[in-house]
Amino acid sequence: MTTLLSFNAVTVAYGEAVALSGASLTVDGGEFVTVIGPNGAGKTTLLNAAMGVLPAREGTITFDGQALRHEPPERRVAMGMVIVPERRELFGRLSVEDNLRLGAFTPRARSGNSGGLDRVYDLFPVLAERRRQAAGTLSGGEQQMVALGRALMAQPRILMLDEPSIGLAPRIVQQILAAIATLKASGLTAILVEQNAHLALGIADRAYVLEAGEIVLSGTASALRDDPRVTEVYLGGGNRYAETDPSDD
Amino acid sequence: MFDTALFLLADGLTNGAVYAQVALSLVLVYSVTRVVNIAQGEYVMLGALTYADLLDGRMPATMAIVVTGLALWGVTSAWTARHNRRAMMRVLGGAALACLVLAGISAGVLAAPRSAFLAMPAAILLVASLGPIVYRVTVQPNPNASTVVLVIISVGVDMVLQGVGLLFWGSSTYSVAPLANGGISVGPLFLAWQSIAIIAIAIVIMAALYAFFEFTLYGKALQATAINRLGAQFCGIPVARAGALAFFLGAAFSATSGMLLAPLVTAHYDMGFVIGLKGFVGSAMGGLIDYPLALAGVFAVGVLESTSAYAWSAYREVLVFALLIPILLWRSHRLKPGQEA
Repeated sequence: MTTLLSFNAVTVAYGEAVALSGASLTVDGGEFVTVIGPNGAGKTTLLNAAMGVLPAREGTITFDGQALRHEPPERRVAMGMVIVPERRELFGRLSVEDNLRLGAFTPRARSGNSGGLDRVYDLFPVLAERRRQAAGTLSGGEQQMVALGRALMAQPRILMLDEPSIGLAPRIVQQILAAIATLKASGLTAILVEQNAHLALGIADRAYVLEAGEIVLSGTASALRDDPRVTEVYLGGGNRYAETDPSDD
Repeated sequence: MFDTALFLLADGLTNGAVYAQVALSLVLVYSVTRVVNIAQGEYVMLGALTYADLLDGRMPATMAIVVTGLALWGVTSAWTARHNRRAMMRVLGGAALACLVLAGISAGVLAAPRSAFLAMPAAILLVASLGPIVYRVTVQPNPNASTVVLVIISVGVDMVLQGVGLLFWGSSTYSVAPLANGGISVGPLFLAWQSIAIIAIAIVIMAALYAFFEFTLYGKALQATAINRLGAQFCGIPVARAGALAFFLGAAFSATSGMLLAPLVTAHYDMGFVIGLKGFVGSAMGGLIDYPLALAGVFAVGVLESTSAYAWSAYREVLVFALLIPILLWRSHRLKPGQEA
């Protein structure tokens, strides 16, 4: 498989504070990669740099063989890079269906998107019931479904998921996770950024561990699951993260 | 007594319909771009004077403003895109093409027999094209500017546009013929055709704007940009283009109101600012984001203006602007502490 997205020694800083320091990673087409690490490690910064929300101070980000420089987020979406942001960034006043339809705003998404709406409603039947409701009135879990559905409407060539489990009840997390597993099975390329290492390593093919802005470990998900450095810090006692409410942001 | 009240009401509604188009522009521009556009009233002035020029058979001076603005925009964006030769040529070519098209349309209208129905759309197009130019040159280069900075920028734009108005049109007044002379009598009330046209066109514009927002993907995209800018970018909506579109529509509505108003008051270079402010007082009622409340606000302004002009004519403007105080008190009362007005 060819490399779809790559970070080559990328550094991102907010003024003096370096949030990501010389990070390198690759995501191949058809691959499901996860980046795990504690709160404040720079995981969201990594995705924001990929989307062009934050500029890379050093290093290069390449998508599909093309080096990205000053392209604003909307251009990157048009190229097929789509994010499900941590804060969801929905249009609260607009209906669920309008939110989803706006996901397919780009010409690329509109051309190949007949039946895209039905696909999202198949994945999350509850959204079909609430299609006329304002997105802002939905529960947190349902809003996360709208955010994921909206991203799928954009026909992502790579989907970036920023902490999709955050702040949600375990039962809802399982539902979202099942949907993500379905997408993975259909061959979707994705990068999942997660604090919940147990959850992330359970679904990904490959993983990177990010600590204080640096990538300290990488390998296949199964190898990292058995790596003592990971089990000790992130999986301590096996299943701990899966049981706790991951809302402690 | 009743007749007088009825007359004042009709007069107030006509005023209100003029301000309504300015208020719609203000709300549209603010909600999409966060610019409290002090310069909005100047498009009213430009609309009236451009229309007067076309009706009198002169090439409108607005053409010179548009050409200068396009040149400024072309040069600055070509400079930002200087590393990309193709993008640079596209920008310069686009600017040149826009100049030619607008000049061609104006020349065409001047060559044809005088007609308000040709002059009006041409004047709207000419003035409206200034909106995106102003946006691209002054707002877009400052994407992270605070609201206060954007207000100051718009004050600057207002001064420039008013100064340019004085430069090109001088301090004389221009009379503009109404769309139709006369009117109809409804019981004791005489309604001029021009007043009816103003109200009718205001209603058509509002209905069209509503339909655009509710039933088209682009309208939804504009709403989405107003609600959540980052979310809109993540949907692939080009937010800069959305801002330019908001400025275009805002300039178009304001220019239309200037053209309709001109026959009632005569057009001159400093007519716009006060109308812009009155539109602002009205839309303040809706916090600059709520269309229905803004419309209620401008009609209140219009009726207050006509009644105070009749009863206490010396205090007419004072009373209208004093209305801002109860409006702001009412708004701050409605909001919970910590919420933004």
